[in-house]
Amino acid sequence: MSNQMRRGTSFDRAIDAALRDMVEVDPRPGLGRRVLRRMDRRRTPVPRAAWLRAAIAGGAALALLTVALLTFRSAGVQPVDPPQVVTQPPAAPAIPHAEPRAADTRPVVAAPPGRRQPAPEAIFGERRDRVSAATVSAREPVAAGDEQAMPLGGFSTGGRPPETAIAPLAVPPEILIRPIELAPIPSTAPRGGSR
Amino acid sequence: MAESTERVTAPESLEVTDLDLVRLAQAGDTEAFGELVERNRRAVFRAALAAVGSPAEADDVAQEAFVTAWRKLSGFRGDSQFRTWLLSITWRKAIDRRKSLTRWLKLAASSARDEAGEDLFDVVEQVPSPARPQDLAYEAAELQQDVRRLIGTLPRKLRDALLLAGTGEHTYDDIAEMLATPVGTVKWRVAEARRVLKRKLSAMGYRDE
Repeated sequence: MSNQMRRGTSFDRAIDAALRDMVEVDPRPGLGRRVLRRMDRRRTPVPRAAWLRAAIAGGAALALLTVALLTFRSAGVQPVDPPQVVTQPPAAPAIPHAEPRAADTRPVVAAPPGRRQPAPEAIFGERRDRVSAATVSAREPVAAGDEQAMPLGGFSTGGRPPETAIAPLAVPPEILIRPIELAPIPSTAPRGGSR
Repeated sequence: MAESTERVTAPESLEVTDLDLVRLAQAGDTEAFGELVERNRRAVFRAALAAVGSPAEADDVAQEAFVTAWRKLSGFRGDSQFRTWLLSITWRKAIDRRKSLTRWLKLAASSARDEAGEDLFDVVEQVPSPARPQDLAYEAAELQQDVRRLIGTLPRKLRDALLLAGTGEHTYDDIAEMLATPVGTVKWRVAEARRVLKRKLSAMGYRDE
């Protein structure tokens, strides 16, 4: 190898010279003019680009709004909170003159705050407009006195208008039993045909 | 040279700082921005050249960097020097160009063949030319060619720091800002690049004197 016998200059000077050769280069004349020309070229499409950006941003905002609305709507049905078990002292005695008992510490299931248990008459849903054999026609309202006389099995009508009051099942229908009358079966064959 | 003479003979233009020109340019004064281009064109071009390795590509990158700076000028608040801000834009543009086109590697691989036709040592050993100079100048030129080729084989981090430091236009602070690296790291990379080059040159048979 002839290189091995060759005596070089200082490496540092060689490196510096190589670097000067590589990067100490001036730009072609007129760089400023070329830059200004390119700036002028790019000025024209700027409004269009801005309009396009605004349209894209508006569409994205609309899509986000739609998604947010759908999300909130689907989240409207919230799960019912589990009932809380609390310990309450006994309420005032229901029976007068009853002997006072020791403090009752049985757990009582209480409804969560802010939520009310459904009223008893609403257990089976709204009864208005129900069609049932037990219902009474609106043209034959039950009198208030009859309503009180015939208990509804623990349920009350809750002050409903008489048109929607439910008749008790205990009303015995009038059943009239008659003897069966057998009517002769009309014959379709011509008379005297088979005889 | 004519431009530098003009600057010397027009002292009033030297009194205007880059920040003054930036404020004017932010108000839409393209002439002020043109003056900023004129003041920084060399630093911008050489930074781009250090990254992409080709003067034509560097010219294009420099133009893009100036146009981008013009577009983003309203966002420049003067927290740093305009030149530093501009060089950071330039470096990002240049790196994008280098990544997309991978020009540096192609140029580095073909630079020796493009300029000398073939690998220099092969030419010297296989085809002795009667015009081949045998003096020290030739040996220095040969060594320089080898150094250029070896620079192209350096790891990118070392090569970028070395080339930027070799432009003569950028301080270590500028380079650190461009590379988003501490100044100490930049200095170490430059020194390490030189060490690697010397080691490779020694391995090739050159002697450091």
